[in-house]
Amino acid sequence: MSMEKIIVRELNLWYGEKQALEDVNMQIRENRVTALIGPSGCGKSTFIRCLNRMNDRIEGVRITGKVEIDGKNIYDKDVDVVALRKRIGMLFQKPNPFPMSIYDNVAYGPRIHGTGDKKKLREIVEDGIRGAALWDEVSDRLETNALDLSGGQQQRLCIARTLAVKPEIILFDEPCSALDPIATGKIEELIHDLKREYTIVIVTHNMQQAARVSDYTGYFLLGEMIEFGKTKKLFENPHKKETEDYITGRFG
Amino acid sequence: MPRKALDREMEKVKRDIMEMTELVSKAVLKAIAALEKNDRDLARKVGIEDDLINEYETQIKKRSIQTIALQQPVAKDLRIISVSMDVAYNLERIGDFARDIAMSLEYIDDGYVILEEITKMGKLGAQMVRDAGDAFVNERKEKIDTIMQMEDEVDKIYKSVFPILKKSVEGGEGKCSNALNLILISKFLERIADHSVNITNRAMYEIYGKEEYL
Amino acid sequence: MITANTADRLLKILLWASAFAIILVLFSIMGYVFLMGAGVMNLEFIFTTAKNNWKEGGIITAIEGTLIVVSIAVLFAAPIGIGAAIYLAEFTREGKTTKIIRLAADSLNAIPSIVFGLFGLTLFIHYLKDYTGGASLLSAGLTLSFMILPTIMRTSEVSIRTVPLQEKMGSYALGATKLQTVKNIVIPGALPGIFTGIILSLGRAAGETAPIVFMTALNPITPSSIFRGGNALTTTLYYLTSEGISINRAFGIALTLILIVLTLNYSARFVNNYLTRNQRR
Repeated sequence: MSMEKIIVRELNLWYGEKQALEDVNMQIRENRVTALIGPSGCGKSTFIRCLNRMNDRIEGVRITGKVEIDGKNIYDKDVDVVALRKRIGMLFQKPNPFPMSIYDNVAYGPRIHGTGDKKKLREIVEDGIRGAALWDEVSDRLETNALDLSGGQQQRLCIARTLAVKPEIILFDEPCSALDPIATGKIEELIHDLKREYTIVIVTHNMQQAARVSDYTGYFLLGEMIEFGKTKKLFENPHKKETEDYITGRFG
Repeated sequence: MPRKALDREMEKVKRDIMEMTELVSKAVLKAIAALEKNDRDLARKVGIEDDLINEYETQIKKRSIQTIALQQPVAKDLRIISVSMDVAYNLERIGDFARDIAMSLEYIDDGYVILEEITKMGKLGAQMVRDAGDAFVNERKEKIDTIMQMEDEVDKIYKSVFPILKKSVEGGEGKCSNALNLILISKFLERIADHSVNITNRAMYEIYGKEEYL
Repeated sequence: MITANTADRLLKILLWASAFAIILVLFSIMGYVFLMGAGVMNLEFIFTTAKNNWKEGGIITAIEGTLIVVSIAVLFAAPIGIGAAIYLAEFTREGKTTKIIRLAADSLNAIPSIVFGLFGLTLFIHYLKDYTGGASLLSAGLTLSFMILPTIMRTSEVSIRTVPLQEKMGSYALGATKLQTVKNIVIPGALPGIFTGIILSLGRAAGETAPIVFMTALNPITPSSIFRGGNALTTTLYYLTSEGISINRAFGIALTLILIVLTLNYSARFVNNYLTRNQRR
């Protein structure tokens, strides 16, 4: 049985006057994939951004409640956000490699965190790219521009870039919405492999994807978490009618 | 956002199950009637109609598999579609038993006496098939109780048949081969009740989603 | 009866004529300047010092003066302009302060160039005489730097804002600080635009007469120090024309100036293409 890595307690979030998250409680287990599903605007992306305090940067955002990672509330005053984000990697909807070489992309994180030694850096970069199942495809052209890669390769490069920082948790915010089915399949396989070493949270609007990759699924609707449980259970026999309506495609 | 295509497929599957239930239930009644009246033509008819029942099973399974592949149902939709294959299988087995019962008339010599216990089991079985199909198609959760009651009754009767036949053979009134055939028939009827219980359990899984009904 | 088709065609012709007029105007001016200026254009004209009140010899002092003045202008304006742009785009939220800064930049842009000249005259030649050397190349350069400051700031800001948010988010998500993100992602990404802005304002500065008319000497002076006086192409052109010294030689200067500015404009494009070769967005 795995431990709880992240415990969310009574999380509320407002954009100005508008409440976007309402009393969200959740336990995210270590070395498991937790998927968050729900219709557009349900708060799932807002929620995942609370986990690495990415919402801090948005104007007018107010947050109450706790997000405890390894028992420590990340919204405590003494938390160093930069150090926190080092522990929690994040992947975005659109692959966003930096306009530099493949090598420099992966080396970006270690470099800003102070890895100067060339040999060490090379090792970290190689490990990252291997970890993202991209090594065979790019090992002979690490100096070429990352933007020359295909969309799916770019997304895996972004994963490699994240792995190079050696995070504990990886957040995926709709990582396949810009990819074709084959590239999507590779990312899903990768997520499956990555959970051995990382705790993974993925937001997706593709329910089949949630069903395929995740161990636990949470269903969000209008800023509330309607149902949370084992993915198998949720897709076979959801408890709540709202969940059933959504996953069977009879929503709204 | 309705799912017309999926709904259409599920409706069709349920309609097929309904029709199949009707056919199978009637087949059981006909087989018993053939026995009662020593009507060999009727018995042969049951055998021929079994082909139609088998065809229903194939069609339902085919449609269900295609629906899963093309519509990717989840939750209740998935339960309906996947269980329908199991229901069709059980109905098909019942159809086979009805055919076997009818066919055993071939091996029974004229002048046998049909036990009223067997007639009763046949009628109960046919009713159980109908109720089980109804439970699945119309999601009647209360049917589980009536089915279990009938199942108990069938079991009780089945257990009583053997001593009766044993006695009649030992007493020299009945022919041994006839008694053996009647034992087989009562066994078939008992199996029909079991399959009906299976179908009802799947219907409960469809309704509640609890794995204990699988 | 005019059909819709005919109207369509008519409009198309009109619009084409307007577009063609632009080319026509450009070529008339360029052609005329070229015809008039080509007569005096030779190596001596470009590379020697003028004699006999610009009537003989060349204009090298003016070319050197212009190049030095615009270099000084950019050297001062670029860091301030880029710094302000980074502050506006990255380090502050939209509000009163940003509005005031933008309004100031736009107003600065709207001030007539002769007013800059007047201001420069007062500030650099009178009040800061001890530091600038009075009517010196430095004073001229500083005056021009005030003038191109808003352009550099606005073009840099626009360019910084085109750096995709996803790239910045990617950097933050890796645990980079704001400063690291600006240094490693924002500035490299905005560099082509910033460079283009600088080069274009260089061209503009080289073409200005009014702001530096009080700071440049009329007689040919070989620039020896930025604290001393010197010539500039524009002011010399103005002098030669207004005093009726030599219209032909004035056209020669005009041609030289146009060539320099055009070269700068084209090199802006070239630099931009070169710097963006790695950034397909």
